[in-house]
Amino acid sequence: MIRPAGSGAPETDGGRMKRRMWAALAVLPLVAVGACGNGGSGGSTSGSSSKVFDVVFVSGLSGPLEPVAGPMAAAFKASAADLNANGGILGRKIKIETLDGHGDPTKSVNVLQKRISSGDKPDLIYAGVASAEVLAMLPVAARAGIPSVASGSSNDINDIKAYPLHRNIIPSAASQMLGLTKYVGDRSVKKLVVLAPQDAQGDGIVAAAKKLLASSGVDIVNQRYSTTDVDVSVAWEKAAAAHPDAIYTDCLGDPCGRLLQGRLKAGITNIPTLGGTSLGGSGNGPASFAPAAALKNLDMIVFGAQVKQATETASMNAFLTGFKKQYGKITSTVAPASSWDGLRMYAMAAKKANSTDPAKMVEAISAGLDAPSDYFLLSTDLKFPADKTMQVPPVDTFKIIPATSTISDGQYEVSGN
Amino acid sequence: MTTAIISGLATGSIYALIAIGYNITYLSAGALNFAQANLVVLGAFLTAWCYQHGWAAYAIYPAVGVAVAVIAMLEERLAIRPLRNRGSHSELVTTLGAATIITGTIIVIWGSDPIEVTSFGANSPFSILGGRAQPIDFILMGCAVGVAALLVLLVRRTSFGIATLAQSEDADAASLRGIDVRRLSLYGFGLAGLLAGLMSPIVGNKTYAVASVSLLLAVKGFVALTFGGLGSIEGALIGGLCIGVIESLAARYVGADYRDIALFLVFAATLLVRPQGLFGKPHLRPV
Repeated sequence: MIRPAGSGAPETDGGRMKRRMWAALAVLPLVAVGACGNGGSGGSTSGSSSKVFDVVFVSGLSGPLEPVAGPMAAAFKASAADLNANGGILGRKIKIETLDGHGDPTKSVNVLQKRISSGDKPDLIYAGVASAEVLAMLPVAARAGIPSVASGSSNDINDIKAYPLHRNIIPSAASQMLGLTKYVGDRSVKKLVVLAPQDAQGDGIVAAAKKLLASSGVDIVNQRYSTTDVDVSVAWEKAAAAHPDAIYTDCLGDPCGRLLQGRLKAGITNIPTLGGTSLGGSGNGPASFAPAAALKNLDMIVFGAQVKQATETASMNAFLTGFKKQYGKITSTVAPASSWDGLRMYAMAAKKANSTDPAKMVEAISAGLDAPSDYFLLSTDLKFPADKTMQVPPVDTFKIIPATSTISDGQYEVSGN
Repeated sequence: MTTAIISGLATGSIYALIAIGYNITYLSAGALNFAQANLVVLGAFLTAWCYQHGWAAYAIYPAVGVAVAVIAMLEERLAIRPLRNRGSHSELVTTLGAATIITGTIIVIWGSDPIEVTSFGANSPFSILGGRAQPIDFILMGCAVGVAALLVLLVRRTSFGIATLAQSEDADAASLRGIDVRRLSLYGFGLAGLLAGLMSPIVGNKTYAVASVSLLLAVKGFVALTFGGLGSIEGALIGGLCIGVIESLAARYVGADYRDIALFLVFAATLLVRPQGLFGKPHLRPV
């Protein structure tokens, strides 16, 4: 069983019995008062004796992270409203409190620490949307013994010894490249150039590609570009000089326009190219910022939730309606969907464990929630290996779509390439 | 190699245009405007906005040019003039403050995602001398050379230019000779802003309208300025082009890891031999 960090030395049976008796006597008056009010309740909490399920959402609600964190906070509230309309968590209404860390890891830690020290401990913490703030806040949550969920993708989050009560709703960067295997197999690729940014994200991409394709016999050529390059055509030209059957690349935000412009200028749009999930999640999709000619023979891996379906699931419809009500518009789906799923994951865990005890909820998640296939938006099911905090999603979580696809109401409408 | 050289010259032309902007305010106001790159990026966003709202190209260039010039003059009044004659170099901090405000405003209004600046109808790539290029590459090179030539003429052949040279040598002496250094400073910032605004649709076509690129351009523009020699328009042009080509060739033939290392090795070696830069004049200091 997973216990909060610092849960203490083992107790004897006698000691435990005495402690339970005193606890029962102390709680009796509270039970009497509680019986007069709201009846339903779950098990023990991580410190709160209130009837509400307190959740704290901390991220950069102002500053550079706001375009991502704002919609995610709105989706989180929408998720709470939806769950509350269906009875809350084991009868406890969910109360969301948002704290602004301004996108600064130090400030995020400060506001979270202040909140934890100020009174009742929250029952759950949403510990940020960017890896830097997530990694700063997770030790605070772990020390306080409060379960947490977050959307960072750094592999450093995947440390169950350091963060036993954390479960990350966004899969690791490596897991997000699962579609590469299928792409390479479908095209009988013998030689693949991985054109990755010259930074930590790029290191992760290259390592993941090598691991994923280790047994496939594909020759992988590591080629880098600088995210500060004004003209990336030189990197593409160098990639083409290796005569690959296909190229895998990725970028996040700012450099994406210049990356695709470089592909066009280098004149290698005839080489099949696959973009990663970051490319598909940048801006309003590549078609919104790159010339159409640069998108020829370019596909990209996206979360299934990003692709518009003829008939959406009930969960997706509830999400779209609730999110639009909270935020006024639908910007993108994948990041808000992750915060929507994050709260539902713990709601389902509490239901399965029949308790809101942190360790029991986390244990239920690790054991497998066996939720209906349309319960979550990003994955058909959430699977967490026993020794990991990050989920390993089923392959069908991702889809490969042409980069010419356009976004409408936050979702891709697939169009040919 | 042709692609790398053309790409380097085009990118270097952008660095040169930023460095030339630094020189204009240095000569006319005695201050380096560290917000010059931010003004160019602001102009790129204004251009994208104008295109999105159906403005014709002939109206966009002058409108953006004037708008950015006005903002630059406002910057001079708020960030430079109050510090005049105080004897410190506080303008290094206040122009950085102006740069931060401009970038912050851009992010608040337009966000941090890249926006395409389609300031030309067709920018289709083509093959040339065994390499690849786009029309924008040659337009950027032409603009950098043309602007540098015009400014050299302006500085050497007009009373405004001669006044800026006098001001840069000794502002007090220039003032005693009847030169209105305050007005010169304001006009200098206006001219640098006008240059930033007029060039921003062209620069934005290459870089995209994206807030984060301003820091990169500011740093590389400053390196080009120091490499070419502070106060020299020709030096800014040659410095920018050299830096662009060194970067591009290093990325192509050594590796992306070594691009900046190669650049700063050449930069450091040059400054060891000529501390005043390629075209700068050594300043004598009384001891």
